[in-house]
Amino acid sequence: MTMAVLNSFASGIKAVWGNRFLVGIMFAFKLVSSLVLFFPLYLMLSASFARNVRTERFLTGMDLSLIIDFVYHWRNALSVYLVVFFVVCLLFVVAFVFLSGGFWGMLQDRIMGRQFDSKMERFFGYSGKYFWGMVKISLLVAVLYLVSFVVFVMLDSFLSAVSGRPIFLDMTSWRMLVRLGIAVILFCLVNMIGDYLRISLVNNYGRRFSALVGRATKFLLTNLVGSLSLYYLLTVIFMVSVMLFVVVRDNLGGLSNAGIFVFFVFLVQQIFVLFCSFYRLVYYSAQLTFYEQETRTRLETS
Amino acid sequence: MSGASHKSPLMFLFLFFFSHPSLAYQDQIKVPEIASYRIDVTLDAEEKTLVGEESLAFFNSTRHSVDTLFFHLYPNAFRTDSTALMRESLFASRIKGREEYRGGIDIESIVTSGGLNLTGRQIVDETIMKLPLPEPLLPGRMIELAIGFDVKLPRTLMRMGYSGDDFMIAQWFPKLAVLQEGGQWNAHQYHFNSEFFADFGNYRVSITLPMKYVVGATGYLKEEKVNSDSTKTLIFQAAGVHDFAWAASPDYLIERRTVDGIDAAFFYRPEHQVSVERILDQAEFALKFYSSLFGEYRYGYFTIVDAKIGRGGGAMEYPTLITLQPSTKLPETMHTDALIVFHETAHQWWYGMVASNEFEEAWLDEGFAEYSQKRALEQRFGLSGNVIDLWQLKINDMDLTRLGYLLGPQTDPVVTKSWEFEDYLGYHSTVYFKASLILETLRNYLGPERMDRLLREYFRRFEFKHPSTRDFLAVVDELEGEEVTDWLEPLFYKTGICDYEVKSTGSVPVGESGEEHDTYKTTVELRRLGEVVLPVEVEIELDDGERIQKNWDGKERWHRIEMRTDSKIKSAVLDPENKMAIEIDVNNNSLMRDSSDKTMMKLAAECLFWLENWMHLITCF
Repeated sequence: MTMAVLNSFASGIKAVWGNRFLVGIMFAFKLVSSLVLFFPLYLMLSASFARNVRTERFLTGMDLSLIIDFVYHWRNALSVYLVVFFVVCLLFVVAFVFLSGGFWGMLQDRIMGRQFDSKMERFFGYSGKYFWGMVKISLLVAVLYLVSFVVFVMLDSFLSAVSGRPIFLDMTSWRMLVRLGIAVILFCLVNMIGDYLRISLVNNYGRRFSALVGRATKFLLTNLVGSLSLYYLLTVIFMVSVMLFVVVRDNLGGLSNAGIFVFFVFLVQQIFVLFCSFYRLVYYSAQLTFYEQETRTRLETS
Repeated sequence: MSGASHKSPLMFLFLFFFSHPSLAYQDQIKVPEIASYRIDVTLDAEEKTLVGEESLAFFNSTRHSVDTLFFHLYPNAFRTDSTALMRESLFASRIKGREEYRGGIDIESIVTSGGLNLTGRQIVDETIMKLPLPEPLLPGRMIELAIGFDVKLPRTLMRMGYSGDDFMIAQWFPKLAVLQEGGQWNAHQYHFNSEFFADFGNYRVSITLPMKYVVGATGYLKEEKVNSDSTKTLIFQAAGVHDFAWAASPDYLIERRTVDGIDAAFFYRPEHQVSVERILDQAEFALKFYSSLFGEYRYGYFTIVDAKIGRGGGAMEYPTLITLQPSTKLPETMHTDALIVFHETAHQWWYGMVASNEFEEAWLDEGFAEYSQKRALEQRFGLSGNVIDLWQLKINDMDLTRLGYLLGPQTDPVVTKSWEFEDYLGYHSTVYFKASLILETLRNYLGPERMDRLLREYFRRFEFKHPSTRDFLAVVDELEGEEVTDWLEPLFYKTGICDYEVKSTGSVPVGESGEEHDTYKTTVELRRLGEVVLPVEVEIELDDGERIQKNWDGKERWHRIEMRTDSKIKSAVLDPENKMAIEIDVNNNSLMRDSSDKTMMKLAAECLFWLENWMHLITCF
C-alpha cells in the first residue's frame, strides 16, 4: 500500500511535468481571472492611497487603520463590487469546470501512455467532451460541501454542549484547534471525493451518472486507506511548501531598496501561484495513477 | 415569603452602620449612606428560587419631601415575553415561550420599622414598584423598611439565573431607585440596551445555601456558619457600594493575591486553571495602573468570578466584583483576556466609585472604561499590536475601537437614554466606541499630562457621587477653558461626524525672471466634510526638505493656505500627529504631488496574489 501511494505520487509529478502546458493553462486562468477582479478594486485603492503620505506603511506591512478607513470610505462602492465579484466568480467557476475536462483527459492520456499530437485540440476536445459530466459532478460536490458544513455545525454544537459554553468564546483554546481540524478534514474529504468522481468520469465515459458515482464510491470504500493516505501525503507536502513560501517572503523584508523589494515580492508570489497550479495538477494525476494502478491490480487478481 | 418574621430594622441599622469592620480605605473618605441594605436570603438550588428578607434604610438627602418610594424589581423583566427587556432583546424569538427562561420577583411583605404594615399598598409595573408612604418623608429624615420577597430564577439570561448547578445572581433584590436633587425619582424599566443606576450605601448580605457551594460576591466574607440542615450561611459585607451581586458554583476554586493591600480573589473553574496566573497578573496591573492614573481604589477587596453568563451576558461589572469567562489557552501575544480584565476593572472607577446614571448617560461608564482599557493596554503591551500580535497580524485596541465606531449607524448623540438608541449596534458603537474616541481626541489635544490631571480631578470631585455629562464638561471648562469645551460639547450632544481632507495642493513659479527656480506661490486647499469643528494642524513639505506648520481653526467649510516658498510643494498632511481620533477617514488627510508608485505596486502585487489564491479555491469545485 505504502509503495502504491508513493509510486502514485511520483508518477503524478512525472505526468504533470510531461504536460507542462497544462500548468501554463491553469496559471493563465488564475492570472486572467484575478486581473479581471482586481481592476475595479485597484481603481479604488489608487484613489485612496496613490497620493496618500501614510500609505508608505504598506511597504513594510499592513496598516489596519488605513484599511478600516478605506472600507468605510468605499462602503457603498464595495457593496456593489462584492456583488459583481461573486457573479464574476461564478462565471469563472463555470469556465474552470469546462477546462477541468481538458486537464483530466490530458493527464489520463499521459498516465495510460497514449501519445498524440495536437495538444491544444485534444485539451479543448476533452473539455467539451467531459463538460456536462463535470458540471454534474461540481453540483454534487457543492451539495457535499453543504452537507459537510451541516455536519461541521452539528459537531460544533456538540463541542459547545460538552464544553458548556458557546465555542466562539473559546477563540484560542484547544477547542478552536479541534474545530479547525474538523473543518480541514471535512473539506479535504469532500475535495477528495470530487477528484475520484472526475476520475470515474474519464474512466467510464458514456455510462450513466449514477453508475459513475457508484464506481467512485465503491473504489473509495475498497481503497479508503490508500486514497486517504495519498491525499494527506499530497496535502502535507503542500502545507510544507506554503510554510516555505512564508519563510522566504518574510525574509524579503531585509531588502533595503524599495523597488527591488517590491519586485521580489511580486516574483516570489507569482512563483508560488505557479507552483500551486502545478501542484493542483499533481493532486489530479497522482490520484488518477492510484486509481488506474489499483483497478488494474484488482482485475489481474480476479 | 408569607408570614416571614422581620427583625427590628432600627436595631439592625444601629448595629450595622456603627459596627461594621472598617475597610481601611473607606475610613478615610466620606461615603454617602443613602440606601443601605441588610438582606437575608436563602437559595433553593433545586427549585431555583431565592427567598429573602431585606431591611432597607433610606436617607432623604434632598431638599424635598418624598411621598412615594420607587423600587426596581429587575427579575420581573423575565416574567413574560412582553416585558420591555424581552421585547427589545436580540434573542427574543429564540427564548419566546420557553418556560425555563421565565423568572420574576414577588413582594410578600412590607413593614416599616415602626411596625406599620404597608403590604398591598405597592403598585407594580413590570420592573418598577411604587410604594406610597403613609406620610411624606421629610428632607434629612430616614425611613426603614423590612421587605420580604421571593425570586424565581430564570435559566441564565441577561446576567442572571442558573446554568446547571451554577448561579449568577445580580439585580435580584428590591432595589431603591435614585432620588435626584430636584426630588424626582430616576426609575426606568429594565431595557435591553441599559445597565443600572442606584445610590450608595452599606450592605450586609447573609446567604444561606447548600454546603457544596462556593460563593464569590461583592464585598468581603465576614463570617461563615455551618447549619444543621446541610446548608451554610455566608455573611458578606460591603460599605460604600451601590449594588450587590454574587455567583455560586460547587466547582469554584479560589486563588488569592494581595495587591497594595487589596485582597484580590479569582473564583475560577478547574478547566480554567491555566488562566489563573494570567488573569490575576492582569487584574493586579489594572488595579495599580488605574490607582496611579485616576485615584486610589477605595475598597480593600476585589473579586473576579468565572461566571456562566448565558444569552445577553458577557463580562460584567459590579461593585468590587467583575465577571468574565477566561480563555484556556492564549498565545503570549494575544491579549483579549487582558482587554476584558482591564475594561471591567476600569469600571470600578467609572461605575463603582464615580457612579453615573447608566440609564441615561451610559457613556460616562462605558466610554471611560473603554478609554481606560486602551490606556492600560498601551501601557502594558505597547502601541502596536496591543490586542493581537500574531505573525503578521497586529491589531491595536485603537483599530478595534475605530472599527466599532465606523460600523455603527451614527444616528444618535452620545448623550442619549440607553433604550432610545436606534438599535443595539447604535448604542454599542456610540456609548462605548465613539465616546472613547472623543476622550482619546481630547487627550491628543491636551497632551497626556493635562488629560491625566483632568481625569484625576474629575474622579476626585465626583467620587461616590453621580456626575453627569454637564459635570464632566464643567471640569474640562474649569481646567482647560472654553476653547476646549466649545468643540468638545457638540461631540457629546450632536450626531455630526468629523472628517477633514486636503482637497488640492500646487506650486506655481512667480519669480521676477519667470524662471522655474525662482520662488513659488504654493497653495493648499483644505475642506471640512463633516459637521464637527476641530482646530487642525497642517504640515507642508517642500522639495528642498523644508517643513512648514500651519494651523486652521476648522470652522469654515474650506480653507486655503497661500504662501511664497523657495521650492515646490511635495506633500501636505492634515493632522500629522493623528490627534483627531474621532475622524472617520484618515486616508484623505494627505496629498502628495506625485503618486507613490512603489507603494501602489506593492499593494497591487499583494491584492493580485490574494485574488489568485482565491481563484485557486475554484479548483476545488
